[in-house]
Amino acid sequence: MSNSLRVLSIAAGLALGLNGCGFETRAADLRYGTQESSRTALAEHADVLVRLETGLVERFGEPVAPRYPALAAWADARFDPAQPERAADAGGSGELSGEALERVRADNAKRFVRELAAIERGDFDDVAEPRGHPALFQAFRALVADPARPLEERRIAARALFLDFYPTLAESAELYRIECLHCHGTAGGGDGPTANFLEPRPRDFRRGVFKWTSVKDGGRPTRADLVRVLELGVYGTSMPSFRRLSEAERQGLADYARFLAVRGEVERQVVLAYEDEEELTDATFDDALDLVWGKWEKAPKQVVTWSGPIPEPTPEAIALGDRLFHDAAKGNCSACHGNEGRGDGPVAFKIDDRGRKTAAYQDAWGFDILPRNLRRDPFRGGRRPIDLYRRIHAGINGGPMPAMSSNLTADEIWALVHYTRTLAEKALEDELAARAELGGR
Amino acid sequence: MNAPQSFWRRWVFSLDHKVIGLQFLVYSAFFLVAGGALALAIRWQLAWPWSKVPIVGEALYPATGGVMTPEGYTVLFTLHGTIMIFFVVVPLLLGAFGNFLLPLMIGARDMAFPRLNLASFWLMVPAGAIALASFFVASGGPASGWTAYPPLATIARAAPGSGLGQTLWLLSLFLAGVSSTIGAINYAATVIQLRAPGMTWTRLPLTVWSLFFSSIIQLVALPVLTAGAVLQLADRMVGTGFYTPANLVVNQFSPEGAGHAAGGLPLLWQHLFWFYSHPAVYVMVLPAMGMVSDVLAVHGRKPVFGYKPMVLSMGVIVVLGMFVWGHHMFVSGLDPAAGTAFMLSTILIALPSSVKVFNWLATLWGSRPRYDTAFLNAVGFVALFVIGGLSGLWLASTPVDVPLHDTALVVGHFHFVVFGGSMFAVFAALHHWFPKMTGRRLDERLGKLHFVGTFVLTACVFLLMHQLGMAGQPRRVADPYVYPGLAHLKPLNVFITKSALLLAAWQVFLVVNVVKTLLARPAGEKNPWDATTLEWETPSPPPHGNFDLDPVVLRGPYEYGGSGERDHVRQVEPA
Amino acid sequence: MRRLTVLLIVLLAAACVWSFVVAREHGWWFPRNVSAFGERIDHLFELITWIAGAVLVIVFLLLALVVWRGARAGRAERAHGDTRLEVAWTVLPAGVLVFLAYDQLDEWRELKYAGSRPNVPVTARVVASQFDWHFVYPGRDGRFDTLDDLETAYELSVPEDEPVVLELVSRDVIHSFFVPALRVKQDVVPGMRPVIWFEARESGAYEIVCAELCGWGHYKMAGELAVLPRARFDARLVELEREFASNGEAAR
Repeated sequence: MSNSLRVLSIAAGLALGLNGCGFETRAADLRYGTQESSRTALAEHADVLVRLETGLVERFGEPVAPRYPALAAWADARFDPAQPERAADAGGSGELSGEALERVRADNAKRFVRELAAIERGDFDDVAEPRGHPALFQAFRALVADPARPLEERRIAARALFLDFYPTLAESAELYRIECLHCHGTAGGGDGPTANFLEPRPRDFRRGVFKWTSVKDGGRPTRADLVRVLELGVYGTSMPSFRRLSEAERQGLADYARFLAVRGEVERQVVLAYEDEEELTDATFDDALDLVWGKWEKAPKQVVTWSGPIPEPTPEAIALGDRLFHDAAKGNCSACHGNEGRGDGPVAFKIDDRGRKTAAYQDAWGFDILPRNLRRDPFRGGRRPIDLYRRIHAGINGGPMPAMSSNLTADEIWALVHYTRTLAEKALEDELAARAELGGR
Repeated sequence: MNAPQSFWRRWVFSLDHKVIGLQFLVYSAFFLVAGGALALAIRWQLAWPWSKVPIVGEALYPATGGVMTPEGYTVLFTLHGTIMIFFVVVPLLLGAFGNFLLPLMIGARDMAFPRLNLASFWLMVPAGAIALASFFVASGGPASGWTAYPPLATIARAAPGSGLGQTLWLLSLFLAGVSSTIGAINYAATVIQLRAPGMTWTRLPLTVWSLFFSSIIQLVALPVLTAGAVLQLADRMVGTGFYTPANLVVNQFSPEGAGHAAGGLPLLWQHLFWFYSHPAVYVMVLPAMGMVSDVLAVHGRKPVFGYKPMVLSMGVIVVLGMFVWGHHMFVSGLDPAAGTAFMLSTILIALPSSVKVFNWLATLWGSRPRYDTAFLNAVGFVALFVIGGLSGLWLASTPVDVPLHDTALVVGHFHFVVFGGSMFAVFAALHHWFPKMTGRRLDERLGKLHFVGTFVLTACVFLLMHQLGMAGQPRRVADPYVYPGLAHLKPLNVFITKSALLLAAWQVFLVVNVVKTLLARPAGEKNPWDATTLEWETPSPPPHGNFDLDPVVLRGPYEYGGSGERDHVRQVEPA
Repeated sequence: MRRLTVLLIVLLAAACVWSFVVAREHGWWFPRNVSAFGERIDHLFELITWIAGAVLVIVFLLLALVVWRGARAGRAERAHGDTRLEVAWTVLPAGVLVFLAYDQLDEWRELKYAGSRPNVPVTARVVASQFDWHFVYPGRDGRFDTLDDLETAYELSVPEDEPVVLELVSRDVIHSFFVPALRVKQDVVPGMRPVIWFEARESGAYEIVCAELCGWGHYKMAGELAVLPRARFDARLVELEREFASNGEAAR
């Protein structure tokens, strides 16, 4: 018996002792670093590369504490570098309208429904750390732990904390770390560890070129465009819908993606300027920032819209679309997308030195690109008629799809939109045909 | 027979079943450590997702600052399952204990085909090496789970790891399959042909019966999986389309567009896979049952209760076990009528297992146990196996399986069977036969300490997984908290992970025990437990050729207790 | 060691029972069921749990007892078995098992057999792909694959208190459509187009989970099932229609 007691006490002691100890679950230390292109361009100017990086870190911070550099113009608009989109009277740029903020609040009530219910009960200990929001949780703990304030007051403040939640850039960076980084990379280069396995590759934000936008003339996307991609995903690629995140979280991630894009573009602009002028000063950075931000500011003015209700898909319109699709002088879509819309048009391919059929075009990021199979692949930028209208009207940034607005009238573009949509119906037809063929064998 | 003298012939390319058994033991111990490390990494991620993985994080995942990547996580559970099943439990039970014990227990000088035996081990070496190598492939280690369902597994572009990693995985599976088939032929032939004079079928120890039955399962079912794996290899390498349906676009890749055949059936693989992989569970648990029966009899000083029902129930498990594979496919789109049939056979197979449990209880009833480590682990086996068996009832029921399928409850269920069951039987067997293998007894105090902690922690790790599954936590997710409805399960996951870390740490006592004992001077006791079966008739460790004189068997294997001069009568003793 | 072992066995049995007794209050139980059929599944689950629990307690107590009794003096009886006992403990569990099997035949038939499918048109098509749920409604013409189909990502709306039939399609690998609150799960195997049905009895938002490993992003593949009263469901479809016909002038 004494033997078994000894065994038991050793076992229990060790088990309790070890299970009691906390484990340190540290987040990763990440750095933005510099782009491959900068390192190549400045390969022989190591000191300039160092100054480039320090300059960027000074202005944009690192992933634990990212911040917008303060432009002189922004100071006038009371631009808060930590939360640039807040309404103007809250110290922001005014990009987030009151209506949008209402949406954010309503969605917060849904996102934090468990937390709010626990607060309602006064059961503060029952509030677990919301996924991806250590800072919010810390603020909450500090608030409810304050013994000086009466319980009711703490409860109201805690409610407001969750209901009014809108992430700072740093909080969005943390969410980006756990949701986006493994594909899009720390600095938004589209070079995270998972990226190598994806086709198409994740977007490299650092050129400011985005494909699924509502704007023409190769403009920067509007903030709403970025939010929409987060909401719907890019169907047919590895970019999923992020509607499981809250409105505030998506808005914040869109801000952060734009921040990474601006940072990347500024870096490229500074390197270009250095190559021109052979010097790198604070002014180089400021000029680059002005130039880059100017493009982003312009985006809302470049949106392609249609006034009035969109035209009906009449049989005549579809027939016209069919003609334009195959007409080499007008739409000429079949040259790339193929006669039946299967994405197998002759122009899209070339025969390489070893006699293999490969893509004729590369996209802005240097990867092979093929035309969509319109019968089978979903429309990536959305399947609303207006989305397709924008695609044909303004082309696709970064890819070979041209803007047709100079070649076609608006009515002709609508005819093509409707014809293209009828092609998408063929997916099931094709599948059933394939099955019938198998069954007949 | 003269023992070979050169080091290589004696320890590396030996034809001696005992040396091959020890080789398998070392082999599976190595993979147990590897598979266990993977399990801990999985648990780390489930408790603290996207935090820095300690120790190895920065080396394995440099791009994320030491934080696990989602595709890295899929590799972890794929290889954990593969390694634990194909390179730990099966080789441990059949390869190590089966090899060592089978000829000794039936009074044979060696296996029927010693060269096949050698081949069976040396096929496992490249199989294991390839499986480990697949972890380090640039395009990602195999990542479609140990079940490798197509099209995820067959289309190289479907996922990171479905490329070269998956090809290596299939190769490794193929080699392991061939090895196991060869081994099974050998065991079955040995039992049929080489029993000592007087060793009739009804005098075989239950361990031998269980190994024999496991070999039958391997012989009948394993070739189906091996062939299925070859078909999957063909889908990948030569453009066939056995498992690839028409009209797929996976990650921008269209199999037809690349000239592959299509129009195949993904479910075909599931049938072929589970036709072996469900019976494989019985391969992993039958030998455990047999060895536990022997340990309970020897250390309980009482005959096994109901020898014939014990044998019969194992036979029923073998036969019925071939007809239950469809219960892995209740929600796969299988014809619901087939679901009904598989539900019936699955519920029926609970019967032979319950008969065995009652017979163990009856064996223990009125026994006079020594309460040593081997006995304790065998009792632990019975307790934990019962939990694993009972939680299988939910999954056998077709309607109830619907919400539970592919959740953490399934994980808890089979870990109770395979860890709580098979591994505790292995601990029992190790303590029981270690003196025969090495001539030295393991330290009892360390052994008991190891048992108590392992038993408690096993329950801590796997019991609450049932609750995780009921609450809806799916298997194989890198971050369950993506679903807000699962956020409150985090404390549970943290508890399980801490227990798992502790459970792993606890195995130090076993390692220390084994090392310490091996360093001690061998006592060379021939029959330290006063056991009756033939392996105890020869010196410890047994010489090359096992027996100086071929034993002649005069009675059954379980003559314990009673009122004679001693409390046991050995199988070779004259009346 | 004898007493310690008995203690461990009893403790383990107690832990098993405890883990089920406290499960509901900690939220370790099934999420609250909202489907008409789910109740019967839950009932079966509880039935099995009670039977399994009783067996577990009995077996563990017996195990504890036999381990406890081993300390008596003298030797064990050299008994090799007892046919009557063997028959008893074969027939008894067999009876329980046959009852269990028989008891769920009806549920399974009504849950899965094609003949039990409610005779209503398909409400929506669920399209699974790596790592996203998309949902297609047939639009005003009631037919799929026409120009007025409505499509959403992530959120599937269905009417409350009505039989709902869904057609499941996969674009790439195998996924599994799992709604814990409805006790619904169906693998979506490419090349097959399984059809499922259910009736949700309480409006609200419920999680859609992917339950079959579909690649690196499997864990991200979440969706939401919005159960809406009929009027709000219809309004939701009109809202989708309006959004679909947007001319891009609104900000979103």
